[in-house]
Amino acid sequence: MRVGLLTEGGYPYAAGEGGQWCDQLVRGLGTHEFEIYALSRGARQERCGWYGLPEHVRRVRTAPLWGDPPEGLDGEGGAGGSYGKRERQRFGEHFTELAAAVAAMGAPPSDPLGDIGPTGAGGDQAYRFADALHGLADLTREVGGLGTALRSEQALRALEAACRAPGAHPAVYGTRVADLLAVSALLERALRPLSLDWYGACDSDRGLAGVDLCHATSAGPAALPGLLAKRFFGTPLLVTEYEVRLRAYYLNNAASAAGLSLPVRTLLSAFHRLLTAEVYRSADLVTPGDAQVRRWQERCGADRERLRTVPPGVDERPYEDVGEGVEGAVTDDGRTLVWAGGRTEPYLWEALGIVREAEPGVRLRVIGAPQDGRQPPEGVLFDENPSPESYAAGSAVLTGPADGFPLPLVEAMFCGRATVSPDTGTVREIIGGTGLVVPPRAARELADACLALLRDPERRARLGAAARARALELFTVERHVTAFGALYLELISHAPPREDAPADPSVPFGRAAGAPAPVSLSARPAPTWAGRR
Amino acid sequence: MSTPLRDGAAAAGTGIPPVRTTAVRTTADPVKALLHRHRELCVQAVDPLEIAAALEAEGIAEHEAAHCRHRDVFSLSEELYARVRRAEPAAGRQDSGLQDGGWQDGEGHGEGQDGDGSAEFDGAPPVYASHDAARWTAGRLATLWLVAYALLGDPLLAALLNGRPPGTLDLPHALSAAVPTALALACAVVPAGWCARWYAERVRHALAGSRTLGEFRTRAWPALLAATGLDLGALLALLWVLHTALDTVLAPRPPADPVTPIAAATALGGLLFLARITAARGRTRAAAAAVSAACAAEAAALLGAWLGEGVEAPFHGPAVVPLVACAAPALALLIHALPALSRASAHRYGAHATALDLIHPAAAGPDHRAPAGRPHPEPHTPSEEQGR
Repeated sequence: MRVGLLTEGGYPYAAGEGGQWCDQLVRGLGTHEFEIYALSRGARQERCGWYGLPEHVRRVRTAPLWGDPPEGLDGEGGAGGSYGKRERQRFGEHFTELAAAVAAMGAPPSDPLGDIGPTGAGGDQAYRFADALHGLADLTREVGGLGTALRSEQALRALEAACRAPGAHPAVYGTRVADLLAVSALLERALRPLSLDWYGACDSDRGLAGVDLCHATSAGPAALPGLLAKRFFGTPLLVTEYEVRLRAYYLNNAASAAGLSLPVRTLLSAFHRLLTAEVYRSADLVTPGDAQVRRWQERCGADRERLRTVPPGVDERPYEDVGEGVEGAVTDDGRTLVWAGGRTEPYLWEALGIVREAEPGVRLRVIGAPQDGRQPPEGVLFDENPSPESYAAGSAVLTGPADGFPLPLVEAMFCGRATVSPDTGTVREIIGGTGLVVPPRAARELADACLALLRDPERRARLGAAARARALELFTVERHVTAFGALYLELISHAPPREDAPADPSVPFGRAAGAPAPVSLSARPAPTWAGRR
Repeated sequence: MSTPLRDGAAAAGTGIPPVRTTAVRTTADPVKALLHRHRELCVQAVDPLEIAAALEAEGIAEHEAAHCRHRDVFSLSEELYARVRRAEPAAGRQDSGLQDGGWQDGEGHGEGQDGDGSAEFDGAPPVYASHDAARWTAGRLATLWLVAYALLGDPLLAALLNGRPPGTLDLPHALSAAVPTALALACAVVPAGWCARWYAERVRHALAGSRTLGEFRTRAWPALLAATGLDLGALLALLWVLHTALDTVLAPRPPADPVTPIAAATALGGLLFLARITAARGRTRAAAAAVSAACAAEAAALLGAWLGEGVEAPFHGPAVVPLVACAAPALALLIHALPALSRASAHRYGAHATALDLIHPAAAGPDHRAPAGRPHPEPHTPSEEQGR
């Protein structure tokens, strides 16, 4: 099977998030062929080089999702910088719809008792948006030139009209011309995957047309090529998210896009919400990494029946010795706590004070460098080079409130150590019953939990062993890779047989089991005027 | 409690009090307390999901949601979003969509850095497509030709018309006669740069202040006319002053008609100014066409005078040729530029590249999933494409 791996700002670039699990996946599934279609996020990322790619990665195609639109992207239709009359009319229709959907997204419903579904008040807008997006995709595939058109005066006029239309979000009424320019430029960037020549543009290069399955690593622009491949060629689309792209957008938006005005941020937020919803709606399967991601995906419109949680895999080999307690490995001395939660905060020092009051010999090893020059309290050591031994030195490992997947917690589980974690995010789901969970930022409860573990070596050992068993069952790389292998086969078995591709006997499920057999009941060839061959 | 804590390290100093404290203090309306604590976030948010993301990132989302008697963080953030009092979106915001720093166009950059500010093609062109670069080069060559003709073309043409070969031109005399024009053109670089910057500034204000594209149009075209007029006026004044001051000193026999050469040089300045303005906004084709047309007209005049022996002299002397050759394309370029540069989309050149790159979540903070022991990336060239 040939898998098209669609990424944005990650694999195969070494700089970027999410590269490691893709690397594990590609290396682990050596029986399949991979083609990587990567969108890069900046010049710096492109300079930083790539991961080493194994043999069965057949090709890598990249495109920038930043800067001005490249010249070649406009295709023949954009040679003169503009469309003909008919194309302009088609573009106008579709883009007006798109702009209207974006501007009206999230507006308070005119009927206050109106239904607010799980996707907010945007049910209708989602359909308008999807239609417009697919219309633009078709137009771009036929004549190209979308980048130029999105930056043209026509697009500005459509945006302006959408912002002034009745039913638009109140925040976009105050849009200025500069805002329109910014929004159209950003839309052009986000929609740039539509203009790429990845969809079988010329005869020798079939691009995504030659791929059996698209696997997108986020639901943002990276999934756009997958959406198009599904539309053009019926390729199944699998979307995997370990970090919700929309959530990352909002978090990053608050931090760095503060220079943008309120209308710009409103319009972009609406666009990303609609795009995300469309990706979730169209994907055949969506695999969140944990329950938090799953909640977001359901919230944004993913169908519950098509969600399969696949926890990320962590390489367990470095923790083998420590976890199994082989000779010479670091052992539990009964007097050391390890903090693996990143930043140290005052409630930690407070908890340590309470613990040391009860058990004076207890020390705290903090994994990481000391911060802001403040002198740590007595009994604190800093361990600036984290290794499996750092976790193993502790009788109990404490983790902080992690956002997303708590990697330190899983590493401590692999080391077979009892853990005390705050009740945030996905901690409960990961730890199961194999560690203690306390309220976040609560010093007294944290100290009590630590004391309970320190005073009971037997319970500590029992919890540690259970944690290691749980981690080995759920969070190994092998399980992660196997899960995706099975999902690939499941998807491809549902996919209809490809008429254009010859059946390859070496490909499992090259002919789908559930699809009707392509048997013609009549032996008579179709008449020539029917246009078939 | 025998606390080993140092001064100032107590929990009170953090600004994030433990959940219990707030619970005790604000049992009446926990959402209100939460709203008070996250006021900035809630006011800035454009979507309830933005609030939800921020609350989750802080790591207290579920707790707060349960405490506020909400099923999940999404419904809590929706209540927060609905309850926060926002300023009227349209009121009180006069600044542009982008920060001032990011909102300079290519022309402003070129002039700010090089200090040339000239009405000529010699600023660093904004980095664009390759055919644009070719047009910039062609434009520079054409500019050189036009300036050279403005300095030496008239005596040469006069000589040719009188039937003398070009070699017999009285070069020292011609050069000394060209000094006032040369000086004026060189000095005019400064006001031209000033006018171009002024125009860019007007456009920036118009973009930021206009609520509709029509409003922008009505503010943009007078700005272009005014900038061109200012530039022409400055150049005209310089030429007039220098000619009246220096002609008697440098040229033993002043020209019969001093007005036409001055008008020709002014037309040249206007043409180059407009070409610069339009080319900096991506209209390189129009700019190059206008400048090339002027070149071609002048070259044709010289060629015609050289080949056609008996051509009659133009009525007002040879200076009519550069005047017509420059004024006509300049006028055409102005007629083209007035509607073209009144469109807002013409002014996006180079404007957003810096400001917009911030939006991509490339550096979205520390990521726990980022590989700790990242495999050493092999320094591939990104263009590498493995065999299919």
